[in-house]
Amino acid sequence: MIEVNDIYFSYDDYQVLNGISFKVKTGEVLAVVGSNGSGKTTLLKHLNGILKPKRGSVKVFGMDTGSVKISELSRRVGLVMQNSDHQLFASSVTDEISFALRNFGFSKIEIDSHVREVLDEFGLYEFRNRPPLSLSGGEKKRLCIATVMAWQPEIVMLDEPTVGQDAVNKKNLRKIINRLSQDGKTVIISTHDLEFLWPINPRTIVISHGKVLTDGSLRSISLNGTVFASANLIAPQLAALASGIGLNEPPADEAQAVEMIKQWQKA
Amino acid sequence: MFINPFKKIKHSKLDVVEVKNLTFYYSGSSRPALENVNFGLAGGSVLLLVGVSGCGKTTLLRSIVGLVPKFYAGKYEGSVLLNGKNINEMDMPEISQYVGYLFQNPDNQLFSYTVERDLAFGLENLGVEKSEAIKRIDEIIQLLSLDGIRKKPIYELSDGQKQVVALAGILVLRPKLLVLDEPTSLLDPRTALSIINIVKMLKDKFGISAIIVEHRLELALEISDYIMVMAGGSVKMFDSTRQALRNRLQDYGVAVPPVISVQRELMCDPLELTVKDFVGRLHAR
Repeated sequence: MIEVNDIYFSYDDYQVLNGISFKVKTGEVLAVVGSNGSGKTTLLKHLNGILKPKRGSVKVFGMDTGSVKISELSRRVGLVMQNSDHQLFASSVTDEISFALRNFGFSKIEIDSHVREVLDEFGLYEFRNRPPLSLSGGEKKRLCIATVMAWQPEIVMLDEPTVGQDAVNKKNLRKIINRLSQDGKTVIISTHDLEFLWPINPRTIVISHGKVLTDGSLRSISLNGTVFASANLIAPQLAALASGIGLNEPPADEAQAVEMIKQWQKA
Repeated sequence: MFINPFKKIKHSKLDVVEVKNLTFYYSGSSRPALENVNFGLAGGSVLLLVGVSGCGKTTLLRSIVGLVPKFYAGKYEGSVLLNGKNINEMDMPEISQYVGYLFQNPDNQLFSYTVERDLAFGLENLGVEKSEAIKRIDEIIQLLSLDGIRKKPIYELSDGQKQVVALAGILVLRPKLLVLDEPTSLLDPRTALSIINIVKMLKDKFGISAIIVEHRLELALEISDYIMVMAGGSVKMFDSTRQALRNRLQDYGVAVPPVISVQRELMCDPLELTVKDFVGRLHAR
């Protein structure tokens, strides 16, 4: 569905992507992780055609992003921005959700039904007449995801979705990601919040200085003791715990960690 | 050569900040943002303030730096005392030399062209003499190792560097208390930790107290003496860090770091605050 072939990109003299390649299958949940400034957001912007590579190519649904119109791609690849305030501007929650639908040429009946659907699905119905910027941080984030989901893109990209979110909102976000995945959507998450990703255990690409360091399920790549440090990240606590006592397999959650430690102590 | 920019603060017996029966309604709101909040923080300690979004953390911080009620109007009852003095009897210049407020997003706090100019801004506003201002800026630049970016334009800095510069802009005013509102939420964990470690260094070396809001508890536990939990505008818990971690923080929407949950299940006592220390303890057995 997505094919990234050896892409390079720079903002003027500042080289950001340095030869990145990977493929994403339909329905996959992919995490792109790296420290601030590693190139995550720049990479995401290549997948919906906002940015074009200086070298190499990006193909989405078999179309080269260099030759396809952004409007055509953005209908099928939705991007939820890191900062909700950069995305929200309408005077009410309902207007915010219907804005893109009107631009994409949906009929009045379709707009009403899609808006109602996402208002219910994302728990926003009670806020439908409120100005978006009056919502709390967690509510704004849900609204941003809802506005994108309203036009039902096949690929959903979430750029740093956990920034500024409390534990309750993060739990909700995990549920949303799981639901999108169950609905067959392809989900791409850029983040440095590895603790957030741990329970999801997605396929994870670690990037540093615009290059891919490793690619695999989060738990499997965490067995490599140095990969997170090389990307200037901190290993998730359960991974660090497992490697600290020499376990071959990191625990999926706290309960499993407790059992594994008990076994280790007996041995 | 290391220049000691502050003498180690000699704290009086009075709390560095004491909040008494504080209730606050923002204008036009029928729901209290703060409801009968009471707590005191002893000089030289760090308080980790936690709770879900909208629980009143930011309003409380604004009250401690005087923005509530001086800039955010509303119905205000109770009092905030800084070293025993009521904040309503202090003007903003006096408050800003006692308590420094670091925002979540440094772009909201930095507005001069270069790092050096930004550090001078607060001092100029307070009318500090030029020679004294230069001395203080030199000290802080040395303390936080900002020499390499001293002349740089702000827009060329990384997010982490910007946050350190914003903190430096507060430290030149020589506060006794720092109030940090999610200072690391835009930063990756390693950069976040470097900010947290600066707060620790300021506490250890100079006795500067801090109140810090941080959702990623695992980053801040090691430097925190106390944890205070808020919900619905009121204080639900105030305890020493290790004691607080034994309570059901999840009931207030606060995620306990995995290494703490694991130790609680294994009945470990005392709790180790980091994975490294816990692993060390496991091996020691």
